[in-house]
Amino acid sequence: MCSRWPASEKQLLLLPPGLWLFFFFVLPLAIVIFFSLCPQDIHGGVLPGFTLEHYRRIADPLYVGIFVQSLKVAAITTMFTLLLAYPTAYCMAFSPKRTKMLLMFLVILPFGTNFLVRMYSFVNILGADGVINTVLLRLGIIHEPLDLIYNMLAVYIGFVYGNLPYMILPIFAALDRMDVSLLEASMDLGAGPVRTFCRITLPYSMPGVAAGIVFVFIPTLGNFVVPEILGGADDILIGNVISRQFLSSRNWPFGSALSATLVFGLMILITMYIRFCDPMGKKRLAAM
Amino acid sequence: MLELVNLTKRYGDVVAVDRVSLKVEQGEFFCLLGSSGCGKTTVLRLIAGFEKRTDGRILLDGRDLADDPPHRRDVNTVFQSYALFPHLTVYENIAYGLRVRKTARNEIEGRVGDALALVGMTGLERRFPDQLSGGQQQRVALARALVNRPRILLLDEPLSALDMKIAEQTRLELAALQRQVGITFIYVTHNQTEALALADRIAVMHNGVIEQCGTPGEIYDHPKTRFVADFIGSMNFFDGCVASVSDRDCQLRLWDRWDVVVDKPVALAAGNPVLFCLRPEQLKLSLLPPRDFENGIPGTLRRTVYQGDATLYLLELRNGRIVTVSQNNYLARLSRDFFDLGDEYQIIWSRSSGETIRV
Repeated sequence: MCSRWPASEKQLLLLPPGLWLFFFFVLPLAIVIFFSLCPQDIHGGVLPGFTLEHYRRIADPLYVGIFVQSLKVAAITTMFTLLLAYPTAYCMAFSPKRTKMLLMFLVILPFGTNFLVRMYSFVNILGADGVINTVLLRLGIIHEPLDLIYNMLAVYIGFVYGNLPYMILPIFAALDRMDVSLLEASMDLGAGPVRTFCRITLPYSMPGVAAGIVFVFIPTLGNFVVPEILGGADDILIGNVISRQFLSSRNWPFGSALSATLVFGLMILITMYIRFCDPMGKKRLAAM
Repeated sequence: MLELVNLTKRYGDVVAVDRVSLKVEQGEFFCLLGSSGCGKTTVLRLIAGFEKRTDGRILLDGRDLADDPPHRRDVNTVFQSYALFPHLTVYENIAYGLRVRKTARNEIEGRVGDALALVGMTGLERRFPDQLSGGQQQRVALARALVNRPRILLLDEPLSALDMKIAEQTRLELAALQRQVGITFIYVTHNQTEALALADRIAVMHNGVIEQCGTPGEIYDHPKTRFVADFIGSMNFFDGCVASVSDRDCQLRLWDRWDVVVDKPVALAAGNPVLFCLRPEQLKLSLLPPRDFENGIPGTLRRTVYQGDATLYLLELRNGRIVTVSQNNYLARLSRDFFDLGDEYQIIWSRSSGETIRV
């Protein structure tokens, strides 16, 4: 710890981010919670008063089912993203320096285009007269267009594609820091490539993997754009339900209750993840 | 016994190791000495298996292991950066090699305990590497390699990251340890003091080639090339040629000016150019001319450099060359030897001193 700063001055440094968080996180969240406890005005507004009716409504199997489905989709998305991102990050980290910079550039390149535009472009790729179907039809491999879009498959493709950089970059950052002599030491001590990967490389990159999982899982859980564009009529996730409460159903209190439930559910999940999975290796510091 | 035969490593057009041949005996403490980029670390990495040889053979007890991957070789390495696994405790770091070889649990416990005791680290099993000092990390790296009882232990500048005092102390312990375990050590260093103090034999490398291989005494007292003479310790060089040779001694003419006698014949005919080398501590200053068994040339004292235990005297010869003389301060005080700047003195040495190198 840097001791040149007295404690009071160190706290002063926390003021700008503290204010930011207060005005743009704590305050809006408080408003959301406040709304979620107010009765609904049938004309779309919020009436003063107190009710737990909206939370009771969430317990309806319909909404519980959508919550569970959203968790499942986010988990599967995270898993497939990880499976694609890890080998990519590994290849990047152990490439020669010039190749490394080029690959890094290619990973970041999609950020130059708006997320919505990229999602709509999948309509042209996966659609009935999209690139894939057109090519396969012309080659005579298929005679009917494949159902590639407006279903869960398309939603997963969109999610995994959109999230890949957020998984690749933290894993790459972790692996890139690794001293190659650690791998040599492992081999030197008699471990083959597979064992070296499992016992040295993988544990070493775990903080990156843990960060990537959080970066992918949380935004996916609340995302409503991808199912809207690429999903079918029945492919509804919790994000879609919330957005509909605010936009088309005009039921702000119920939408607020769903949002608050999602936020607190996530907080509990992340706390458990940090406590029980020890992704940052905090336990080993406690072993001092 | 380890034997390297014409071992060569090329990176494109660059020859890192050029036809290196040497033999290391069982239980020997062998040093590869050279400045950075001389190829000494590449030789070590070739033996460990981290680099693939371009040509030549690496024979361990007569079997060529050059094509074996590193994890199949019965050699272990102590890395310059130590390369301790940061996510494993000291205990798990040391046990790593044994676990990989599926050693029985109680045997692992015993051997790790012994290894920790050997390097004086008992009681720190549960620490993580980043909770250890540099010296402690170095000991763990040593224990992690030794616990596997390798045929050969390779050490890549193991003391270079330590403070000088700790490095000196660790050096003594390392020598004692090697004698205790009896494992062949191949030790790479750029530090000549370390090499002279530790090694049974030293190979001095330069530009991928072994310049000279021998005991520390042979390397220091009888350098065979200009590079070795210059690299180890300090040295005064005199260009000269052979004036005459007999079966007992020879006469050299230095810088076409000064005739000196060397009590050792050279295998060169008269007229051949040579390089004559004298160490500063072999020289002394005097007001008197050389005696029968001595050589002497005059020089003017230009500078003195006080070094605590000794003083360096820099003298200018009449042809402008500078010769360095080192005199022990304690002995000089006893014999009341004092020298003044600007005065001319005789630089004296015994006829039995000095090395003649052919050029």
